[in-house]
Amino acid sequence: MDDRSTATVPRYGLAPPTEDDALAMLSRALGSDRAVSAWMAARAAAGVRGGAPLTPEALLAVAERLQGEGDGVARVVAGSLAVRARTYLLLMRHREDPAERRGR
Amino acid sequence: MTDERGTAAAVDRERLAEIAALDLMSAETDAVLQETAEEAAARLGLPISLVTVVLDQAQYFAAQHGLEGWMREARGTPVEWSFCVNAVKSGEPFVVEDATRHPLVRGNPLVSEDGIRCYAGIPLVTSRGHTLGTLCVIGKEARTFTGDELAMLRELAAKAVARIESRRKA
Repeated sequence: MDDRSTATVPRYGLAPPTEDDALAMLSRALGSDRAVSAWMAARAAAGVRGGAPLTPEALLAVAERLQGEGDGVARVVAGSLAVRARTYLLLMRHREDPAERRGR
Repeated sequence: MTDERGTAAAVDRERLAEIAALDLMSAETDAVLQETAEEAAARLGLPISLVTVVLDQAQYFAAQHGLEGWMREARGTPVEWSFCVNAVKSGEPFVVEDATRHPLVRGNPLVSEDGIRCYAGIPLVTSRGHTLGTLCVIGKEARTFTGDELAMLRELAAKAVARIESRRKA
């Protein structure tokens, strides 16, 4: 991972969500066995492979896949994770330009 | 404390299950919820109104009027920045007249970086007793909210809940 994918967003104090975060969120809702199964299925469906830590972009891809194709509460938790990942990526993209960040 | 945390976690799992059953994470915005948000903003003369769904670690905007920039694109925020989570936790309206002075939100980056100054959110409570999120209005200037304005928001929130309940899957 490069520095950008682990850095906290300046002034917002937001860290990038990690795969451990994702599994913890899913485990609280589904139990650990179902959480791992659902996450790994979404990871494979999103074409995300390898043991290295996921970038925020890859994590967002897996979360969006699970949100679109998972069952019940898994979709909701994946949606929550996707919002966090999108927020992180958008704020990092516009971190040097407050006006652009606010859409002006 | 363990029992209380366990009970709270179980209640929140039930709440998330209801959010799933109501299909509130759909990519397509519900037209009635969108109209409700637009009406709330117009009737209170504020630039932003949202129908929010408070999730476990984020809030999701099921409908929005007036958002710009990253919040519009993200369709939500991390839950620790959510004003609406206060209404969901209490089950009562949450009102902020000047966010720079309010103890619960004055350190929030949505105030310091994105300029939110006033807020009023009415909890959306289903017939099964779960508080899903809020109908809320947001402004960039400090202001007060009258009883009549909050009553109007309550009426619109009831309309939003009726629409949301109609989405319940059999």
